[in-house]
Amino acid sequence: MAELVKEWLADYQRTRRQPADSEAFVVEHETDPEIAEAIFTIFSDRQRNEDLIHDICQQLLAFYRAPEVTLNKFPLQFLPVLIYTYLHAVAAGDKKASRGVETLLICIYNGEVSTDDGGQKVFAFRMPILAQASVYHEVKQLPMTDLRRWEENCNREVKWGPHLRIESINAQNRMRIMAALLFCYNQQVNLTQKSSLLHLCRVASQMVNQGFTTKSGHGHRMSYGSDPATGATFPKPSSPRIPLSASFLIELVHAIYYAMFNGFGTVAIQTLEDIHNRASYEMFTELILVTNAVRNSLHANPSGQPNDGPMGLSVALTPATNTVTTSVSKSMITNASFRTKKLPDDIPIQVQDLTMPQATQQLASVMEETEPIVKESPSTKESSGTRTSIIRPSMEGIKAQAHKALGFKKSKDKEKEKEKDKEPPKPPQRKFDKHTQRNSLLQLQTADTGIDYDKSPLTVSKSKTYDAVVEPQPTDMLPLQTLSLINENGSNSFSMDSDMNDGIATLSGPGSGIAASLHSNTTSITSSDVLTKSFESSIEMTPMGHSTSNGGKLTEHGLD
Amino acid sequence: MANRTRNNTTKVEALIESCRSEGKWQRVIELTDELKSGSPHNECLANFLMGEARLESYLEEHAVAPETNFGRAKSGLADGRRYLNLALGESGQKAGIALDAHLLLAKLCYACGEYEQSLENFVKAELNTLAEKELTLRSLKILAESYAIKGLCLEQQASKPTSKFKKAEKDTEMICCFERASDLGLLYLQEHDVGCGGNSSSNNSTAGSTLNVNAGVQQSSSSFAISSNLQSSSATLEVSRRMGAILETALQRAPIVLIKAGKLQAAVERYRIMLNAIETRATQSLRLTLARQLAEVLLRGVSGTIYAPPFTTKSGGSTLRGGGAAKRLWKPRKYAARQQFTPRNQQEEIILLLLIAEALAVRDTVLSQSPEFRLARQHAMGNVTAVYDLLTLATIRWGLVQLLNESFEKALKFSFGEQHIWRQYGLSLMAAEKHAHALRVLQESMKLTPGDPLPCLHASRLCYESLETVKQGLDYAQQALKREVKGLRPSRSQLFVGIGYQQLAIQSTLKSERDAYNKLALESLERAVQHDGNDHLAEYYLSLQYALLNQLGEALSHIRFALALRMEHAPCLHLFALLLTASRRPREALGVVEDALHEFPDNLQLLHVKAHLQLHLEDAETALATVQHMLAVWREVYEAQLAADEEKHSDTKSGVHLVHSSQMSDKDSNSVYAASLAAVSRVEQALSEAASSLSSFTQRPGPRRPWMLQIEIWLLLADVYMRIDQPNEALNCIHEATQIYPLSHQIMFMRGQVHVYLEQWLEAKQCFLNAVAANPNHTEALRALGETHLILGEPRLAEKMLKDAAKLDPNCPKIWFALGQVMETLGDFNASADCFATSLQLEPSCPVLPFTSIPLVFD
Repeated sequence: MAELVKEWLADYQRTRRQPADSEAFVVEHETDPEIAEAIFTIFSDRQRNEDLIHDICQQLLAFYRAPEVTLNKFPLQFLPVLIYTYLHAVAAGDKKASRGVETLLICIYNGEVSTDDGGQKVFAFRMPILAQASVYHEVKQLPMTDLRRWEENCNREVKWGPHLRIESINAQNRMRIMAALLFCYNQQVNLTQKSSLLHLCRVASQMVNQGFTTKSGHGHRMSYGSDPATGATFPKPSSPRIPLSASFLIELVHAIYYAMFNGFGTVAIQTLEDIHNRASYEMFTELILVTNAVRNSLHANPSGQPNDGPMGLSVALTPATNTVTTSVSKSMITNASFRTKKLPDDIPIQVQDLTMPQATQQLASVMEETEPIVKESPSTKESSGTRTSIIRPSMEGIKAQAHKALGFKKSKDKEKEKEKDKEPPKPPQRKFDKHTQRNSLLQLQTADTGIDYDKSPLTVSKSKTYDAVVEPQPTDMLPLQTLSLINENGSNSFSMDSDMNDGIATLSGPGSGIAASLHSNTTSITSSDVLTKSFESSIEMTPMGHSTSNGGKLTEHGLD
Repeated sequence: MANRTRNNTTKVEALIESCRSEGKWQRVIELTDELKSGSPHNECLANFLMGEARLESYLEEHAVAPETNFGRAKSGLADGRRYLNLALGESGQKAGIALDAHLLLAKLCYACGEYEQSLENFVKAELNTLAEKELTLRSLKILAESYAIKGLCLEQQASKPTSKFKKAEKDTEMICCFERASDLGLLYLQEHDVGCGGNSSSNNSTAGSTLNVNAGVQQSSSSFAISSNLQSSSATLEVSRRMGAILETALQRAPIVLIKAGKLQAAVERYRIMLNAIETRATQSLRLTLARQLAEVLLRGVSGTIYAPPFTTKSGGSTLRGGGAAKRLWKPRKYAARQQFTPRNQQEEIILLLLIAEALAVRDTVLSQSPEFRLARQHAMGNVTAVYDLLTLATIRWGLVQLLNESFEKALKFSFGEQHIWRQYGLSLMAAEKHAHALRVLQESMKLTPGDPLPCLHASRLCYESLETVKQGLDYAQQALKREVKGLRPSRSQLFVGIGYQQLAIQSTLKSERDAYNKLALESLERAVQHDGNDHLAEYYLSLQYALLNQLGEALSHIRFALALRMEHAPCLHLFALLLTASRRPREALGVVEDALHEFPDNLQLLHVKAHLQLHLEDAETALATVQHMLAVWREVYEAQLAADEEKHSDTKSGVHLVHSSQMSDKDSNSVYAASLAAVSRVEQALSEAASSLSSFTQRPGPRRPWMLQIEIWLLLADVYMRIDQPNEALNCIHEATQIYPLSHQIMFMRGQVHVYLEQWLEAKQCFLNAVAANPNHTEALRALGETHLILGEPRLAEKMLKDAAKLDPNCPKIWFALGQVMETLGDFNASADCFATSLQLEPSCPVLPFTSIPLVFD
């Protein structure tokens, strides 16, 4: 390898002296892939070739300043290696050895940050905004956040640069310069030979891993007890950690990303892992953001792996099941707090009702609409109150009531059926399911009343709801305030019931009847449905309640 | 099809045609029976229609998947094949349906996996020689699919071309097919949308022949009108959301094939053309895919030098919507609006594409958490995270964290329990310096990833560095340590625990508490060093801990370890210099600082030490030069930053001044200097709020940190001026500082010092009292107040003040000395002697500046 490079060096020196040959050299150089490979080898084995490295750097510098474009771009592919060599030397406290590399880097940096006419180079771009029509989209109605974005980003320019030229590198500007160099490398990475990408990955891994591989350097370090005043030498770790900055590593990730999708998938992924580990160690938030993003995109993700197809692109067909409609995702529900079996059509309305504030709102609305039975609304609440067993009417009384109701219900059935035709029955809620399963007691309890459920589960469910609404009233009337309080606990989270197994167990017909009958239905309904349903029934049943000689209040309103 | 005179037949034909374009194949079969019975002349046409209907309805039920069910497809399609073959004959030629029949037959063959036969049919249909002309909806679809199928067939053809040349030829043909397919496909979908939208009015743009492609007989366009009454709108939507697997594949395949062939530019151009076409209902998800893929191609395969901006050569391409149909019949209509944003470079295009993709993907996300939507939810989530990941990659490099932040904020709505989104959101908030908010999100992230110590560490760092809630930070650090089960990098967690204890020790005022924390800190830091012997940061903190415990020998040895591990680390060098001053080697310390300043020329922190050292060495003149240099550095570093910040504010007229200033990032080394104010900043913050409410006081624009730095510099300068006996200059400096922020206790203290210098004791006392009121923990002010009390003949008060000061900072010899003097005055000579002895004992190990003046450091 060394011979090859030496020859290459000599060749170029010769052509400089004889301008006639230079063209031939350029052509030959362009077609010869081996020389770059040889130079990479020399760099990876730099301890043994220090003089040669110095010469190579000089020659690369000459190339960089050469008028021929092919020569001009040749040194760029070595940038990662050069940067690594330099940073390694600095970290090892061996700056002198890297003077040649340092000079080359400074020259390339100064060259890259200035334009051809000596000005300062600036990469700038306008921040696109969706509020302005583009060649790829039309302006639709924008959501608020986009409008805000528009306000902030309108006419905004994002810039890289201008960067000042530098005369020397010190600790303060070092990483900034390296990041800028790598940025320039990324801009032109297309022009480099593909094989140099492999070296890029290797060198990047070394850069971030160095000093981390050995578990501990304690083996060859002096003990803590020794006297510091003796000025004993501090043995340096053979490969010190290289200080790196987040912005530098971000540029490095971009380079690695390019390599990943241009033929070096496996190596590049490994390098990315290394960078990610280093990022986590240093806690560079921005860098972790980027590495996380790339790593995530490599895991089961439509973006595609480096291995499927060119650039990880593949055909991603729309799944046939387009069950989800836009309207669902747009609604502002937080579905996290409950689970319901949804019918496609009733989600937005039903689900919102479940949360307590809405439920009370609805109560209010019902009150407004049906003036005469204002006082009825608390009675609905009572149903939930019963469930939480804060009211405990006497068993006998309730059973009697229930039977009465059932008997009467049969006559009502036909009416109900008609109603059902008009308005499809709502399925019961799933949570009820659970409770009934958990509390088999419930079913036992309701066994007596549940006889005719099998015949017409739906109607029973309705009339049962009604029972729950009306029945407890005469037996045990609580002050309204208490009831509403109860309701707040009760209907807000039915899961609470499980904590009150006792209460449920002692429940009488009506309350548990709801659960049981709901259970018998296969389709699901939200709890709010139960609420509203019970309303409807309570409303329509008002005269009935009267007829079964209910409590005073109810009678009053029934008369109204 | 011939010219039927009989009205009935025409009507049926019209009905059939509308059913065909809507894909109601069952109805077509029924109607065809009717047609056949109506007129026997239509035998051929009927055969064709039957074949077509059979084929399409079969394909509707069974997707064309390569190699899976060819056998079944063959038997399932046998009927259709028979009908189509019947339509091929002489009469078919005459009726002008042979071409269509061939095309459909090719499709049928493709569905059966007979690629060669399919290609043969295309040859028979003379697909390559078709002239561009207006077509009906159905014909358009057939043609688009034909090109697509031909392309797919060519791609999957078993026989490999023999020569390189032939391969290239074949590739070109294939690419051409895909390109045409994509153009026609998009056109078809556009027409389809128009058809659905304007059904009731019959002025459809497609008024061509019903069936024929080549030599058709014109038919009245009014036939389309009939259908509109039959269909329900929901059915239309249903159909329009799907375009069929063949078309979709072809549309996505076109650019990929180009990339495979090595024609990157052409592929990019193809993507652009497809995205430039006006969107339709069916193409929404396709557009998402295309936009994302184009962004991917630009990110992964195109670097700055070979990028060519889109649509630079506008060769009459600006056909208005629906207008220029005559020009290019077989090209889809394009977006055309005034003042269109046309990307000029790679970044603009990438970000634009990703923003569009984001908008599309977010629209399809599933909020519902119920299990039956899990698949749909995951699919949508996958789509949207893919876009977010690309957006992260594209924006972070340019410092556009803010944008990312907003995107994630929107994403939260549908990201319940999605750990990736939450993690990224937390990180982006940290990067955007929204500390308190970030902490909240990190807490959620911790819950979602119970095994990952990283969010805990981040939270811990936030607490230490920005939120000044050390206890909380320590909790997080310990949590992180618990999570380090894999033992990958426990050293960092251990280190953070140590830092937490150290800070607690510094903050606590009770001696017993402080001792306990110091002990814990030392233990943790020792362990951290053991875990990771190559970590300079752990060594640094261990050294600092020893320094705080006044064990200077240990401290020096550890700081040397730290420096051996990383030579150029400003805080290490800083601590090293202070340690040297504490060992009575101020000259060496100055040398270290000067060397360090070679590497970090703009580090105000080091300059600050340098000026103090110079003062300490009684070299006030050079100190003056140093401080003046500091002012210059300040201007250089911060002035542009502040100006830019101000500009930003005037741009965005938002009233979030405070938010912005706290976000303000100074990433460079100088920011560390400001952090040294941390200990007192709380009080100051309270005062500054009070100050900003005063109408007379106008706060300087921009972030507070740089301004606080400037105050610090002015006060240092005042100190220097007093040393060179120019109290008036010192007063001027104090005045400058007051201009920035009048309520700083340091300014009050320094003013008191000037009064002391001028021997105006009462005024001095008032100033010190003010300073102590503003910050009761300011030991220097307490000491100065004590001394002033003593001079004013109030030794009891002086004793109180000095004892308070000594309690806060027991290692300061000056306080003990002053206390000794007070005790002497009070006649308590034993106590006085003790105090002096203590002072003497402490003096040699007293640094020029307290060790706590070095700010927290994390890298």
